[in-house]
Amino acid sequence: MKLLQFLTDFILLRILWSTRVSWNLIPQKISLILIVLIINNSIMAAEAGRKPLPKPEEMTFERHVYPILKTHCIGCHGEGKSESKLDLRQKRLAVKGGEGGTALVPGNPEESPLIYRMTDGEMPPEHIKIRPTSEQMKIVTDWIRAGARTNRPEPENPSSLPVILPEEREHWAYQRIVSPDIPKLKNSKGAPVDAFLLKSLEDVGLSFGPAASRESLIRRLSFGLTGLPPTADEVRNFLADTRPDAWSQLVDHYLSSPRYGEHWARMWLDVAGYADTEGGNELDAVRGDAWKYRDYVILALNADKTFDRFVTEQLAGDELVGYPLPARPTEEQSQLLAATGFLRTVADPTGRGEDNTPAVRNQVIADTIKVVSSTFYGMTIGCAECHNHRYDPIPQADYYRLRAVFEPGFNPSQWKSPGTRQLSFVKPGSEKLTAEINRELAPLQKMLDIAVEKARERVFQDELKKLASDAMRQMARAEWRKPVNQRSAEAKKLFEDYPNLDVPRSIGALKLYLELDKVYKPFNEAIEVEEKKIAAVRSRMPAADTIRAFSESDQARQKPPETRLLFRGDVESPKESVTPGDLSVLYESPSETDLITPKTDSKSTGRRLALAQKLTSGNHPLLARVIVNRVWLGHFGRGLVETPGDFGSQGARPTHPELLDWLSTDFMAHGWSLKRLHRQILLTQAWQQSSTRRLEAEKVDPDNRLLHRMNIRRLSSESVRDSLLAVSGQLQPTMFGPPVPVSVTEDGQPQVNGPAASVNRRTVYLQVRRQAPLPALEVFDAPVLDPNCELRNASNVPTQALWLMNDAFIGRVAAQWAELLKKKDTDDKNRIIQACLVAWGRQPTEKEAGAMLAFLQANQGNVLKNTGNTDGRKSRPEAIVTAEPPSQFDEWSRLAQIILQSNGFLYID
Amino acid sequence: MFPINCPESSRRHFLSASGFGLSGLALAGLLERDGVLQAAPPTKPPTEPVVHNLLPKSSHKPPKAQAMISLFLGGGPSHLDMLDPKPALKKYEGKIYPGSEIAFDNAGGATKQVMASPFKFEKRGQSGLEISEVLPHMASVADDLCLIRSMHLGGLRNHVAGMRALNTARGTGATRPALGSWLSYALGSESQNLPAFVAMPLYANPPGSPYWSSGFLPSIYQGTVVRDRDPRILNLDPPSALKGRPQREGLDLLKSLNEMHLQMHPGETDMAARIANYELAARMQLAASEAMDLSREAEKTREMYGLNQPETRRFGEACLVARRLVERGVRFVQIWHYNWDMHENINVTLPKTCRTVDKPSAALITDLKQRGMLDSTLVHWGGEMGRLPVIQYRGPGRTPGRDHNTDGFTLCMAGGGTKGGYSYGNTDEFGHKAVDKPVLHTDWLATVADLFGLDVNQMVYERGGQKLSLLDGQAGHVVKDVIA
Repeated sequence: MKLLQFLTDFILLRILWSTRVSWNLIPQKISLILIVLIINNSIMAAEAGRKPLPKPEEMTFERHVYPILKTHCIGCHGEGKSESKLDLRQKRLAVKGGEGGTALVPGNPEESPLIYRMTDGEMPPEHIKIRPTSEQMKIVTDWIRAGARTNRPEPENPSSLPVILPEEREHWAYQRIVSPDIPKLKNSKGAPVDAFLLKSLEDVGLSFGPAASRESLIRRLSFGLTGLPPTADEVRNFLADTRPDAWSQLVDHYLSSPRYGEHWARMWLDVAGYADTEGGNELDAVRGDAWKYRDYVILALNADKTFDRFVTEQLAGDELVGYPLPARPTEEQSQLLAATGFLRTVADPTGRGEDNTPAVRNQVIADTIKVVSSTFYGMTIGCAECHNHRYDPIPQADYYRLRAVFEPGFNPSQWKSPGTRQLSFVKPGSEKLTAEINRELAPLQKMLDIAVEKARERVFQDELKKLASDAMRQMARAEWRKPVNQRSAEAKKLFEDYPNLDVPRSIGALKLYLELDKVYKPFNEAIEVEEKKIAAVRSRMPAADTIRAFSESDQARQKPPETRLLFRGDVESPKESVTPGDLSVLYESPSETDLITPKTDSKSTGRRLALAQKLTSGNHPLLARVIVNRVWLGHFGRGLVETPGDFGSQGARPTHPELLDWLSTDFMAHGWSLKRLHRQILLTQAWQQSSTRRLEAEKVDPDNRLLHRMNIRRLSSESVRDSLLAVSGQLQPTMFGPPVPVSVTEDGQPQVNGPAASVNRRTVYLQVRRQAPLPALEVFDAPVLDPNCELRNASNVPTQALWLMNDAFIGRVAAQWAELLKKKDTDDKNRIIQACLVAWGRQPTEKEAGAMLAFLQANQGNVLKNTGNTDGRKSRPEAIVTAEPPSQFDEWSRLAQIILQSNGFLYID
Repeated sequence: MFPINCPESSRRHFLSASGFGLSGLALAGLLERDGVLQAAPPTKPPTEPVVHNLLPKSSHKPPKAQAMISLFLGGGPSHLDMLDPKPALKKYEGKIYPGSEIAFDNAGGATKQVMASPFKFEKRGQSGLEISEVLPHMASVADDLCLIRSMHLGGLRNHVAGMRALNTARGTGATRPALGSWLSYALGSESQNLPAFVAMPLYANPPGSPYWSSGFLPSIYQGTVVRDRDPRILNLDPPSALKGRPQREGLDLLKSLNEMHLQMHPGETDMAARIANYELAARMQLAASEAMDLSREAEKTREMYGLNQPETRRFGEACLVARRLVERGVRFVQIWHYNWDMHENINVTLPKTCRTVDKPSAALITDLKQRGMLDSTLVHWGGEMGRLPVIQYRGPGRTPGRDHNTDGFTLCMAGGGTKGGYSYGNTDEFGHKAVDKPVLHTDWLATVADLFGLDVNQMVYERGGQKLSLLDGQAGHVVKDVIA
């Protein structure tokens, strides 16, 4: 019966909608039914595990209702404009209403258009994709019913409204980081990190799982710090190490390995958006010097450069060097300049003329701001490019204030394309030769200038003949060498009417003339003779040292370009000018957001250094939390904040906020040392516990958010490739330098080029081509740069299985590994044990060894030879592999490959 | 293995009727299968492996479509020049746009100068559907086409947001499962020898890729990428020495090692999926090689798809592969042809680009029909936006193009239970904004689900106590009028 009533009302409702009858005419009870429906929905939502709604009498406009209206309504009703004269930024104004009368009747949601216009779907307008959820609707309804309370009297003048409400500032991520007390627990063995985790576990009746086996631990640690499996000797030594501090020693061992910097640099490069090509168009031009930034990161991490310094150098290395930049930078200065490569990682197609447009330049800047904001702030600041951020308290002006910090370096109106903005330095040791050659060039250049002038004169004579009168000829002759702005008005007119009189000064354009008529041929040849002489001398010039740095031009430093807020983010609609500053929500008063830039002594604008100082002052609420969370993510497979790039209201809340803050303060208080932070995590009971699922814990904490066990993870794409090379003894440990080139074969397959010594280097040294990702890496989820990668995908597709089964690379690696194993031992059982130690980091069980032995015995001495390409292998892409596949397989090379295909190899438990 | 050009209607197993009309039960089945019905008393310990598989599953109601081929023409094909005739524009040719405010996307060179289509529209087939001369082959199958001329993206702008919206229901935010993943999750696959969901990006990945991620759905439902030329799937061939028995022996040992390993790691679904993927990969070596082998097609068919002309070959091969995959039970195939973003020189580029897809697209529809597969195969043809009725002129030396238009564009479908020779909704008289019966991307997705016999709101995946769905809580209305 109730249902029938509802259906009737529903149909009536549909009719009313379709005829667009004013809502004021709709019987109250229908609205009531809607409200009931909404409440039912929200109960369902609550049952589905969301946190319960606050009590209606506790709800206030500022805390509960304003964020909802800001997301869905205030863009049109309040922010800059007021559709239908309705402003919803204040409860007072909502009651006052707009053209259609009041929007809000306190105590009476059924009579409040604010409610029924939303429940009927009329508002927000149909084309707005983000709709209020039933829970949000219930909050607004309950709040009105309970009397529509505010936290404080609302100011009379809405223009004096703060852009950010105090309630919005209460979001956890904007709070100063204060070190919380370490929970005191009976069962805690010491590590503060454990105490925090154990507290949450004990609250729900759980505790840590048992410790993982030593075999699991060393494998986990080796991959966690170096991205490579432990060697068999490392495993054996650790298993035999009875020292009480064996674990701590092992952690230090891996932290001091040069492989550590390579592995963690790759994680940093994901967030930085590192690539070796420009991208943005199909040319995907090679970015020659990008690798210097990659090397800088590896060096910095291995040296445990303090993180505050690391950040400062990447934001303002050029400013630390000081302007004017030295002609011959020291090694340290070169490193500082290379560090700023961080600000030049995003796709930048402006090297091609047709892509060098204001809109594309703007995109380069916007992408860089995104990289900066997700790397250092863990925020999606980019949303505020076009309007005030809809979810987070970031006014549009804040976006442009932050952008102004970088504007002098980008200098969009004097934009330099990637090829022309590289810093070029005389290489140490080549100064003398350079000077000599320059001396030699000077007279040759003069000769060329003379030849050019002769040619121009001749062309000009011919153009003169085309003029109508001697008077005109006279005037043209008198004025043609003058710069345009010094010519008389009459002459200007003459030259505009006869533009050919302005014979080009540039050789390229002049030659176009000279090639038109054969009478100019001798002139053209004379120029070419001089050019050849110059080219011959120039070819002896030592190559300059170039660095892809972010720097400010003389002009930009003397008169910094104005940064203007862009209406709707459109470069063609600049509005008011803004000064550089940090996000206002992070500070108590607006004046604190200003950057204190160095005044007279420094020759740069000092803006980026000033920002770096703010970020690393120890008082910034985001930077330390963001990096601590990323390191945690690296070790546990999930951050304390699950959205490492979004600490805002749409991101996940920290599972353990106090732990995050404790680690952050500890990190800052102890010199921002990343290696120390790793130790704080790796020496815990939490990190060392087993990954095995426990029935009772699964029921309470199925997603393991409380860390009642270790998470199991698949090897990253780099680790798959690097580990295959390492296990088979093929990995080339060469560090640094230009990337190993990747090219595209005729059939469109990217491949690594070069001799084994270079193609077998670690993946971090392979060229990253945006438009030619290596299949072996792509299939295992290499980072997708958009413009950077905050969190990697971990896919599981049959093409991965096919790669592990049939790719020539793994076949070759397995064959090489089998040879090693055979050399080392004579007994199959011992070889199997050795193989499992290397690939799985543990001895095989009896059953596993038995299965493998049985396979070996069944295939003993059975050598299978490839029969060439005749039997259906025509489509095999021979050209794409970095080496020939093995021509034959014995039982050991086959077993070796099976071990490398197994989950024991691919997963870290 | 399979006879060539078998005339039999379809090799797909038809879904059993037992699931029909039992949407609630079917849903419960869906949920239970995935171990997500937390309310039920735990009859099995949660550490027991949760099995995700690609076995066929029942829909909520009898389906019309059982497979889908999406020909995604990314970049914004100009509806005004192809499928949506606007004679009114002729009157204003070269004059200032008389309509309401224009929503420009790409401000560079934006003008308000009207540019009518230089291409002739004609009534086609018995239905009289109007299609322009740039698509002569598609015009010849007009009576099979179902156009939605009132598509819009609800204020979303630009390509990535648009392509995401049409595939995942959201234009921004974290990567969500693609339509193909949802269909694979809800319905499984009719083939256990091929992936359920195949994506074929032509030339290059569309910007913002991948559009074939399974997002929060288990990894077994993600799209497998097939290349646009041979070898279409890498590593399908084992070294000849290992072919057959030796490889099988190796895979058997691998499986038993992996199973012993899984016993030490109870409840790890990703490890279980990987075991399943090795088995699928092994079967794919034969099945996928066979499915991708276009030399098995009759010359007549190859000619029909344009395989003999360089300009149509790439797209034609992809269409033919798609037909062969669907014929073999693949649930969802999506071809990505991101080649339609014509800010410049559109009147020259458009007919050229149309020539690369027109003949193969029409051939696919004709071929499916001849094989009796069109009724159960939904073909989608179109992009994430249309283009504006005004000139975009990027300056001297450049020729005019058209800027993006996400407020009104045409989406084309064929088969799968849609009406043939039918056109739904309209843009305004200038072709800028969808005004008559506007269809939002979420409406279209709801309609696709409905054609598959799925209630888009009941197709949910539960994770961490949250019920996650394709539309993510957004409204989506089934466009009933387009359903036959």
